[in-house]
Amino acid sequence: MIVEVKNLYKTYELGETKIEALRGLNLSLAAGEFTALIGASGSGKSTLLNLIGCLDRPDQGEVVIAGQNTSTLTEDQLSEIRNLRIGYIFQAFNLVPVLSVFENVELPLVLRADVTPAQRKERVLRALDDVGLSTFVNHWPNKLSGGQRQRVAIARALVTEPSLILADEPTANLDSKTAHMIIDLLLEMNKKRNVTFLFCSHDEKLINRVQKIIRISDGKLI
Amino acid sequence: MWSWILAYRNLGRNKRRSLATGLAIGAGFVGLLLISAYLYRAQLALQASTVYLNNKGHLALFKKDSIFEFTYRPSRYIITLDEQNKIAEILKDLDADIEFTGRYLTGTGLINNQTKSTPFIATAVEPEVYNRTLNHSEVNTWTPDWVFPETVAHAGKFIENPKLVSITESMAILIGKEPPFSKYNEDERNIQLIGKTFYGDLNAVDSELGLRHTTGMALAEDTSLVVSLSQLQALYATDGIQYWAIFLKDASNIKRVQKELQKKIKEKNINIDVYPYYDDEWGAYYVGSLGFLFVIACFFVVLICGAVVLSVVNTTTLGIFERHKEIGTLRATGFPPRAIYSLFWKENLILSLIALSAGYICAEWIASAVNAANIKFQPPGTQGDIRFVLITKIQITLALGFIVLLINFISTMIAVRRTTKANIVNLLSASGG
Amino acid sequence: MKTLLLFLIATFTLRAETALDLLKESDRARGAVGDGLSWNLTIDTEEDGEASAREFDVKVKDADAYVEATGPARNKGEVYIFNDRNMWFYKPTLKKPVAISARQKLTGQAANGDIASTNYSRDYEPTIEKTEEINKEKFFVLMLKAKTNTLTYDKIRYWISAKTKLAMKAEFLNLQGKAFKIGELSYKNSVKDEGKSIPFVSELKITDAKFPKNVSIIRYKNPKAEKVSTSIFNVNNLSR
Repeated sequence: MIVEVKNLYKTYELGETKIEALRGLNLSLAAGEFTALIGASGSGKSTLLNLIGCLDRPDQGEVVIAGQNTSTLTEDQLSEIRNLRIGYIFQAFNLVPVLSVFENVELPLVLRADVTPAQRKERVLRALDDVGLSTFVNHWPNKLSGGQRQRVAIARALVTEPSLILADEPTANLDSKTAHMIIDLLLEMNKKRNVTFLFCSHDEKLINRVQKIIRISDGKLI
Repeated sequence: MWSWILAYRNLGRNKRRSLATGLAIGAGFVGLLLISAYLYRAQLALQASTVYLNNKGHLALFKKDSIFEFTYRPSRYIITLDEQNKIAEILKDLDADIEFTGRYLTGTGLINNQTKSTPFIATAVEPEVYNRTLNHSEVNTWTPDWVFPETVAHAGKFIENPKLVSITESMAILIGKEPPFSKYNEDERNIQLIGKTFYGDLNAVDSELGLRHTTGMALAEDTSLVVSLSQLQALYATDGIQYWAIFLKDASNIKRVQKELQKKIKEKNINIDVYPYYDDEWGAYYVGSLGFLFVIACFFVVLICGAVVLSVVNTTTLGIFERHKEIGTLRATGFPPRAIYSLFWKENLILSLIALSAGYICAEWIASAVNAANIKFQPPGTQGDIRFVLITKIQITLALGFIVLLINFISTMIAVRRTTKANIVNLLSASGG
Repeated sequence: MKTLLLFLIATFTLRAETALDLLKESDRARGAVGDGLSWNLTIDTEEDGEASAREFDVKVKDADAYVEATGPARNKGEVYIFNDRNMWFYKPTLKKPVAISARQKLTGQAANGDIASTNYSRDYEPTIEKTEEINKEKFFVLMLKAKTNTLTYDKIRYWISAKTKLAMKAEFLNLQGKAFKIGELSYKNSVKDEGKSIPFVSELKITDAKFPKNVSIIRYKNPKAEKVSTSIFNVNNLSR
């Protein structure tokens, strides 16, 4: 299993109110699975995604990524896990505006001492080629369309050759045609690289094309 | 390399803010450099004045405990002729370090021109030494406007005529003999110095008005008188001296030479203390003046550094707020907290280096302009004007630059610290860039 | 009322006259006599544990005095001249004499003005403060106020014996009226004045009022009346 979630609890405090976002959730994802996490607003799907992505810490329970229990890791160790094992695709693309397309995609690799500059270049170009943007290497993000930006984000997520890619509403800011293209791309990457995908979405077109659907409601899987 | 590129490019995201912060750092640096330039020059001028013009020497030999007591009991604290001979032998051994030495005596009395008399506080000098101190290169370099040109030009006249006295313009007015003294005939220039010998007897010696000097201090102008050592010794009926000043070839050797002197004096069993010119008791004016300037400078330095810190913290904080999402993304892709620190610190470093370079050029230009303008002012308590001069020194500039960079670094850490500890999810869900 | 006023004025005038008379009488024993006087003077001083001695030859006539230092050797040849209330100092190495003040310290407790003759009746305004009995002898205690500020002392409290008309004690006062020096006089000498032998001061002991261990004793020796030439009192004769 690439992802194992055991008895996960997470509570948020909003002023004097306590909100139990996750209540004893259990989940497993195998390598290469293309899985959608669906649920109503406030059901806890983003919280679950964040905990799996090691962007936050659970109050109780374990998150095991590629056999490593992340609950006891330090902040630096979690950073390493995120860099090596996990790729992120954000709803708003989250590209760095002062870096070119090439540099944005290269960003996760600059921390890797085991990757030489030549290897870095090769992997970036390959990732951009995979997403069909090899001719946009020196472009600036503000000169790209929404779909192109999301493809850059996907390339950035792929460039570290992660075991798992997490996407929170990856097509929410795109028009339907572009969203369709992105979905095709994600599926292609899933098949080509055997990367496990887990994403949240309300997009019916995306949901209809997944292998597996996980429904969540009131912090529990249903 | 990438982080430097990213840092540099981030400066251009809000050019106006970067410019404002750069100006604050640059202006602060200019302020620090100019303050240090003034302090540096003031310190060197005070040093040259204290050592040479005030006849204190780099080191001075006194009878034990006599610095204050000599005035009340001169006969008890005089350095006798016998002791002087022993000291002379010791000084021979330190020839390599010593440029020259001078023996001095001070005392009080009345100066009288038959119709008027006024009190004096005399400094008795060896004529050759007096000539040498006034014409010293340190005096020419650092305090040329603290001494009358005529005083320097005529410094050798004591050698020709040891009966001459040098008085201030104030004293000359008090005794009704305004300078130039050359306009008076020999009889009119004759004056008498009256005082008590060290035995307590009334005594007087004939002297001649001939030279003019200034003390640089308004309080001392009415009573200051310079006379040759032999004259004052005759007045006080003594062959002793009050202190022996030592002028070194290299001022940086003061501590070592002082130690050696103390050791040799102890071996010879002479009851003598050795004081450097910056001693609290011996060099009180030097220490006090420099201390005062230092306190004032520190006050301004604290103000300037405070302004720089606030400016950097403000700018960095604003930048962080605007880039919460970006920081969250970097953290999400595996950047540890220290990498975020590093990114912002490098941004501020690049900005600081540019600002410091511009500030340095600006400060040098201002200093040159001020020096060329030949501005004169009269500090409180001084007699006459002195030139306002700014002198920069590369070591001080580098040290101050380092301090500014350090302040910058600390300010950045203060601003960034909270963000690096923030929850990544909160960063990612923030509005803005 | 008028009568009372006249009586009071007369009384004070009488007392003032009496004070002045007393003073004049006592001055005679301190050098204010005849056509000229001379004597030898020694001053022995004990000050802050250190002893010193000075010797002088003194010649006086009326308001002038000529004092020449005769010992110790370092002071030999020094001259002090008193012309009325002006004082001059001279030594052979000087081209001209130097004007000095009577108040300046000469040696120990003795001021320059102490070594010449004393003419308090000329220089001070006397009033009788009180009478006092000391060792069964009656004394008039006079308060003397200086007529000018060039005199040696501003105020003196002066004890004059009612019987002998000799001044036995003096308190030298500062402007605040506090005694800073105390003088005690003895009269074992005598001189001839208009054929008559009168007592003459033999010793004046001056003590520091605050530090009684600091003392100067002025001893008057060999006083004699003699004709003194006025030229020796001429300051101009001293210049080289």
